[in-house]
Amino acid sequence: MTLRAALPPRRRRLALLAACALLPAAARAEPAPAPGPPPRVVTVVPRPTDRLATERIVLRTICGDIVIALYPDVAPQTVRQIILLAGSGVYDTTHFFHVDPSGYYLQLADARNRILPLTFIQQSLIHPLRAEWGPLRHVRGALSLAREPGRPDTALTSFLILRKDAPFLDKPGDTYTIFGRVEQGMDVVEALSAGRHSADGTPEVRLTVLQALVAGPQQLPALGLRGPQSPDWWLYNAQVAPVTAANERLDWIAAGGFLSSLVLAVAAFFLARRLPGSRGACSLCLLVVSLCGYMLLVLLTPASWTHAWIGVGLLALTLAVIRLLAFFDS
Amino acid sequence: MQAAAQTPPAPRAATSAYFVNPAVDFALAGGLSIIVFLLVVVFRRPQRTDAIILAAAQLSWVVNWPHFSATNFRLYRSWENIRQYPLTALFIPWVILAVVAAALWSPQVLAPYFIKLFLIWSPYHFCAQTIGVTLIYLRRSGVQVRPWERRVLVSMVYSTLFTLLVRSEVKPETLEYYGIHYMSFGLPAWFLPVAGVLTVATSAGLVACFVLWCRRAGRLLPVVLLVPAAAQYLWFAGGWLWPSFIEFVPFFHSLQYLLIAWSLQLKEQRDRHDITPSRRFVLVESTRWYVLNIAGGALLFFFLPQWLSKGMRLPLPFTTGVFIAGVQIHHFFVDGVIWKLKRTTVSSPLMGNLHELLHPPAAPAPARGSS
Repeated sequence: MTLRAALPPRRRRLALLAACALLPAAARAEPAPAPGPPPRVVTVVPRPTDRLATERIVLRTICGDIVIALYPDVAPQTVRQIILLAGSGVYDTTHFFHVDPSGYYLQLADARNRILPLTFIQQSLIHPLRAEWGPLRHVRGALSLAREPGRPDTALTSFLILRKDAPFLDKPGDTYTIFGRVEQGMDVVEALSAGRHSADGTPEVRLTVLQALVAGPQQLPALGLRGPQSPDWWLYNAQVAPVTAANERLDWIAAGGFLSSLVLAVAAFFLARRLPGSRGACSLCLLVVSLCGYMLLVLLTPASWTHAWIGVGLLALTLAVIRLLAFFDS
Repeated sequence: MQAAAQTPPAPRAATSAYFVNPAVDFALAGGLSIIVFLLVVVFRRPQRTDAIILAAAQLSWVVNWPHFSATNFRLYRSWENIRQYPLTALFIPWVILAVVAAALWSPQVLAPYFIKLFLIWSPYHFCAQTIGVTLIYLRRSGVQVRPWERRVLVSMVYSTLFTLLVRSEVKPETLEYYGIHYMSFGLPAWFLPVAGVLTVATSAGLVACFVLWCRRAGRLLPVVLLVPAAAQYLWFAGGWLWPSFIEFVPFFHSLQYLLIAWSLQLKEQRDRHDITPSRRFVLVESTRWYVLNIAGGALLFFFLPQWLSKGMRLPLPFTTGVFIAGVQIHHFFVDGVIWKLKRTTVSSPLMGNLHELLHPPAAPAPARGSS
């Protein structure tokens, strides 16, 4: 039973919040543009089996559904992370941004470039993944994590779907993590790749992933999987709005808490200012105000792209808090 | 440097409207930026070329970074100062350090918004300094500013801030600072023309105030009264089509700050130690203060980020971006507290003039004998 399937949306978000709190070390790393220490590579000892996980990832794209099976023994950490990301809605409204002109693969964009801004929780789930190199090869249907060239531990959320065998990607000592394969929907992959694209492989039509679901084998038939089709714009429009609402719900709850604390701290500040010798108390109130303001910035900025009034409010709030800080220690 | 929230008390008479002399004050208070802008426009050099970036970076070592260090110097140079602002001096650095550590720990979630906060606070701080410097010159010139006139000045300066912020925040897009990506607010597009109209209207209001001040004084007041606001207009509103000019805005802001901080440092040092004014005192004290600030600036903006990056094994651009944002937020924070013109300990020394520091006061003329 998956997280997404087992819990109602609100409780699922709370569970993810708890999961997020348990992942501090994982969230710490950062893809590094500057030279750093040599990358740590975990080479998984080849096992005789490429057993598949019970969960499947279903990518509902504008051209149909793709069912992905995962290899938990070969790439355990990657598989756990992909299930977590898909279950928490990180892949919703991402897109395939690159169709290899030579026809080898179709590449999913980094989730940070999706239509809907990532929520606070979703952002906190993304972290660099260590390379997990196993016995699997880059063959048609394989899923391979994208990363920065020459830096195996920099994969985040982007991956490739191989359209034909690509042995040149199986470079000894510098290959890519293969974590799954397309179980159903290679024809959808081909439909996505068949559209017009520029010489460098950028599709002319946005190849959007409307939603990514985690499903057990018994749940698959109930999903009513769609075969290859031309881009379905009606579905595209119908899917984006509900996803927005679901993703933002938990951020709204947390933001409400911080906003209440901020209002209380401002009120306490103005009350304390009337009392003699309350310099320390006033300053403490202002610190609480500024920390709450910062957290509101963190939580609500992503929503400002879809609700302009939030952006206006956040800007006004930030300037007001900065103005209030002139009363600190005085 | 920030203006006080309340109307300042009756000003102590200044011996001169200028800290140094009309030319130097004009240049450092913002006139240099106006001249540079005119040169850029006349010679049509809008591009932000590598040479421009390099020049601005080199100037950072000797002007921008020392200006940040000057704040720390002013706050931490004596126990007397630390005791005056105990929370700011002893508590706030730890709070900011904690936020910096959190941002370094969470590069995807907390760091982008820390940078965003810094990039909103920074232009706000520029505005507060412009208002403060203008009020200082008004006071030095003996102009009594009425509350509504002050409001016009404040509105003009903050309307330029509004223009700047709206311009960078109006599109829903991801922006970048030292490789750290952060989101814009995606403000409504109609904010831009509104900001433009506001800026023009309030600028006209400030010019009208200047005419009023001249009429009230019965003379033409020094043009330096308008220079900080005019420069501010170019920095945030008028000069945005000239990226080569915008590259130097932090440098011009720092020059403005250094003029005031240097003047205050000399005056306070002289008063504290009862030093006889002399050319030697000014030279020695200025050199000591400036060298210390250059060293402090290099430590804060160059050496510490390098050590931090190596120690924490984090990418240098990311570490530098987060750390110097922390240093600058500390500067904004401290400046907001220590430069309140309503405090006579701040405003009174700012009425001094270089001439008083170079030459001892003339001995009173001996009374003529009457026998």
